[in-house]
Amino acid sequence: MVKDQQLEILLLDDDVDLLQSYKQLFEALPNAPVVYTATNGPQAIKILEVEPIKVFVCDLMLPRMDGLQVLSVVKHRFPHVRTVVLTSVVDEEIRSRVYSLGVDLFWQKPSNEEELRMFLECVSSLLDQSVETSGFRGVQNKSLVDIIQLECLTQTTGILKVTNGPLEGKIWFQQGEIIDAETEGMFGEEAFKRIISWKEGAFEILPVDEARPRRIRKAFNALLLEAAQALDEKNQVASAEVAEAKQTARNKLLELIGDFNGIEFVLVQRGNGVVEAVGVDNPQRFVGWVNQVVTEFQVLGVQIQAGPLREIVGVGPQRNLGVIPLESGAICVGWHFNVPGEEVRELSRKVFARWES
Amino acid sequence: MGIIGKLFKRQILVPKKLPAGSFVISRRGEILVSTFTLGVSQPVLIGIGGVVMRAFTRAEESGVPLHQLEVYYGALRVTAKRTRVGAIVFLTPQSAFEKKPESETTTIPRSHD
Repeated sequence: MVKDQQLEILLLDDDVDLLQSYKQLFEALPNAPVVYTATNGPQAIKILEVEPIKVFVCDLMLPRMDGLQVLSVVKHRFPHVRTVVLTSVVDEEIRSRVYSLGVDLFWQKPSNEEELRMFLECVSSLLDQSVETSGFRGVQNKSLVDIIQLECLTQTTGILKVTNGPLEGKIWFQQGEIIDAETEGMFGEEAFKRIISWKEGAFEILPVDEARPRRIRKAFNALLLEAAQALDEKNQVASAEVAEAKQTARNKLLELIGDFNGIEFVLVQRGNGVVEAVGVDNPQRFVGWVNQVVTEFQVLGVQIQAGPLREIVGVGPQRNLGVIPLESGAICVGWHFNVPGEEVRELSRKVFARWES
Repeated sequence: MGIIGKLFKRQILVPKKLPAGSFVISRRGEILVSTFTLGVSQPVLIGIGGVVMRAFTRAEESGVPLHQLEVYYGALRVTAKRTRVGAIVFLTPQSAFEKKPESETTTIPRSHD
């Protein structure tokens, strides 16, 4: 098997005997993964930096850098890695804190063979799922196009509800035909194209609650073909020259400002120092503040084991600010002061989701 | 003891809990008032208060004065309100299993100034 096709697991525990025992058990799994081990956080992170680890299994009680701190770092720096906590700690609050970090599984260390068998099956299943890192999670990871085709071919009547962070969209089916779509104040084909452009999220099928007027009349394969062509064109723009890509980003920012009431500016600061901003004359005065608060609050979050930093909201007499950390950098949205502080968080998340889509 | 036997020694461990409460920090970084018990160390509160005060100060220096900050982590919310003496800071642990109302508001008592 070629190395990049092999499934790799990383195990972190300060109990060397336990580590070796689980290593042998994982190596015996049907998907035959390569198993790496580490006895402390920094060692585990070094392995993650060089190896394409798919699943990370971590104890919580570790010396110096404990499991929650390690998981915070891993979720921030390696978001594609599936994470499993394997611990002796028995507490609902800890379980809740672990899941709030975005961990995939929380397991108390097995105490008998039956629990051990179930745990190994879960890890094996997670390894199989980890091969697809994007897509929509429902019953299995599938692309949205696959899900829609399936609903059409099986002559579904119902509502496909799709979520992408704070954004939500719905597609109405009637006996396998797509009759309407709705998202972000848009309807019909326009809404359908917006929903299908989302790269990842979750879905569920809902029953029809009332008769829906028909806004879409095209056959589903024509709709999907047009959407695929639009996505191809979008991808071609992304691979164009840097100036053209910057203009696209600028247009996108302008579009965001036009679409949200009360928004004054949007500023995107990348880790490589590149700043894209619309609506503000001197973005540098915000960049310094954004960099400082994001960095300091992220470090603080790791120190007090509060989980990943999600948003920062600032309320002021002149304007309100919503800051969302990116994988590298941050996005800062400036809102008019009369946009209520409690709405700034949710609205900023929507702006971020639109930016990412 | 084989592999299986080695795996089945279990310890019940006492977990650390996130702090919940409030404190007032001065502009110079001193804790003036705190509702936290001795279980939450002063350096932790001073650390949190320091980051908060620097955020307020830098915002003012950047021409974007702020009177309130809300910082959302996966498992904790930090709410800070600027006061005449410094800032009042609230720490609220967040649980994935808590039901939250659609529009959650933070009630902040009148400032201590």
